[in-house]
Amino acid sequence: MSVSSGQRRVFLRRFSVWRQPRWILTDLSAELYAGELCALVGPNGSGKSTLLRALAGVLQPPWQVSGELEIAFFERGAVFQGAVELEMRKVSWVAQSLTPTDEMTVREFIWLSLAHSNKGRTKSPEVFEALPVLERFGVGPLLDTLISDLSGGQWQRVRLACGLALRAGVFLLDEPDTYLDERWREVLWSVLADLCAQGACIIVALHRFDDLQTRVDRWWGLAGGQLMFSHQELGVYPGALLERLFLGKGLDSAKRVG
Amino acid sequence: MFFALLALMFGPATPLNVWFELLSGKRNWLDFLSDNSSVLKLRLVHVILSITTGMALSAAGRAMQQLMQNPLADPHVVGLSAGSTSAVLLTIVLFPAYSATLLWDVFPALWISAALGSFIALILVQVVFQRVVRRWGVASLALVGLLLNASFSAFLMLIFARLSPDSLAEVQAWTLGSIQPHGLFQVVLIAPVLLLGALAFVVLDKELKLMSFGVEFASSHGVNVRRLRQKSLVILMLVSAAAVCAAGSVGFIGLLIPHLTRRLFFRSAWLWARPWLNVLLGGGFLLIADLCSRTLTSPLELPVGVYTALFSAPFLMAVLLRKERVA
Repeated sequence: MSVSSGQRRVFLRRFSVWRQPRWILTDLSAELYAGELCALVGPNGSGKSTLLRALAGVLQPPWQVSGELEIAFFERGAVFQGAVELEMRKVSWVAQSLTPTDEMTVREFIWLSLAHSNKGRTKSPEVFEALPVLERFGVGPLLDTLISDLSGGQWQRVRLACGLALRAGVFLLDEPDTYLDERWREVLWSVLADLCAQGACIIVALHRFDDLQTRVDRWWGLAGGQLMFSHQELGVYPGALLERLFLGKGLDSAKRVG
Repeated sequence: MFFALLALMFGPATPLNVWFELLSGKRNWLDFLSDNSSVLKLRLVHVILSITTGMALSAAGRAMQQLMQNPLADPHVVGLSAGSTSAVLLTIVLFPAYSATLLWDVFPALWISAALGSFIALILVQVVFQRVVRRWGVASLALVGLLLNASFSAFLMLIFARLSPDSLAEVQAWTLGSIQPHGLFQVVLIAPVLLLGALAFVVLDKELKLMSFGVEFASSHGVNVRRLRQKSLVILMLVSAAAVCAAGSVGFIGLLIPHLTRRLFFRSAWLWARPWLNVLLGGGFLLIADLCSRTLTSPLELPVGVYTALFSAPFLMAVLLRKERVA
């Protein structure tokens, strides 16, 4: 499939997630198109992370999902590919946090998270280290550092770089700017913009978004497990809706979930 | 290799005369091989069993730690070994024909009961741990293991009471972990299981390592979590049962060796070698511990578990202290 704007990548209809003893997400319906950068916002505990995990397909029992969820398979441009021929996958998901139990260096983590997509064709970690996106996030000098010795921001950069280096059509980032200082936050947003320009579709769960009005194409507002808005016009900052979302005013429907 | 040769050479009775007899033609090789009581052969059994058991236990320890995302996991700590031991002794008591000593001629029966025992323990650990881990955190695994071990050892005490004084000493040494060679039959039955188990974990290591970051991370990187879990649990069950049959309930290897490997070979250069090094280190360690147990207090043979504990405890203490400092 060729990369062209206007193709539907993510499709949700009456999508719900259940976990004993209640529904975490109820009746979500939304769509996302190629090249769109979507900000997923909402108060704490509104179900942002759960939605991203559900989209990534990593929810294990006792989590249960129902309804329709479609993620289209498509080829993304090769700008970030470098020399590696990575297997194409539907989604790449970068979790909110990740704690290693093993003692390992950054180099090994990169190899571990990328080599699996490579179907073991190359055994040399250098190939992955040369990926341009790793360079953008300044991972080079950290390669021989143990993960346990990294600062929060450095670890976040390594994880983001690995997640974004994967050859996926849809990227799901769970609060990617936590721990990042202004400089790296800027890098993050420019990398995301480049990915979108190639036709990737990105969903970013966010807490801080007041300075992103022009960068985000679409806003999904989540409260109490329900999507409060998702269909407004592309590129329009829904200031009033966001205000209501966080103040909890006028969101009667949210109470249904309670 | 060196230690293996050393282990063949030394023991309460020196086999040098046997070698001389063999080499000078006084004794026939064929006779020697078919003679079950030969000192050298018993030692060979010792060497093979200690190496393979060490390999399998360290591989199992590493796999469990990755699988449960828990640095405390190990077949001994969580009670798999105790489960197997109890099951074997229960079989011996229930079928008095076996009870004269640990009669390894009825080996397959004991093996099966050991496997059942470790299976029950594994299920118990899984069920209990899954439920308590959210409330009490990773350390709860040690707690669950402690409780399981306590129950099993209480059960063992009850069984001890039913044993004849003759077999009691042997059985007690065995529960502490001691390699008791009972002929080539034992080797043929157990060593391949141990070896294949260790190998299987080495092959699965990449997926298991992804798993060590958590189930969701692994599954988002293309690991079939359910299948990996099932495979690993079956191998774990077989391996810990085989290890118990070979060396009794020998502890600490699955805890010590993986942590040691991690400490020694954390650099990226060792990336692919690490699971192999882990296994080899495990085999070597138990071999040396076994050698010590047979020579240091000669002619008395102390259970090998005594030495693994003696070596391991200080090191693990150091690991814990270092973790504390970093945190």
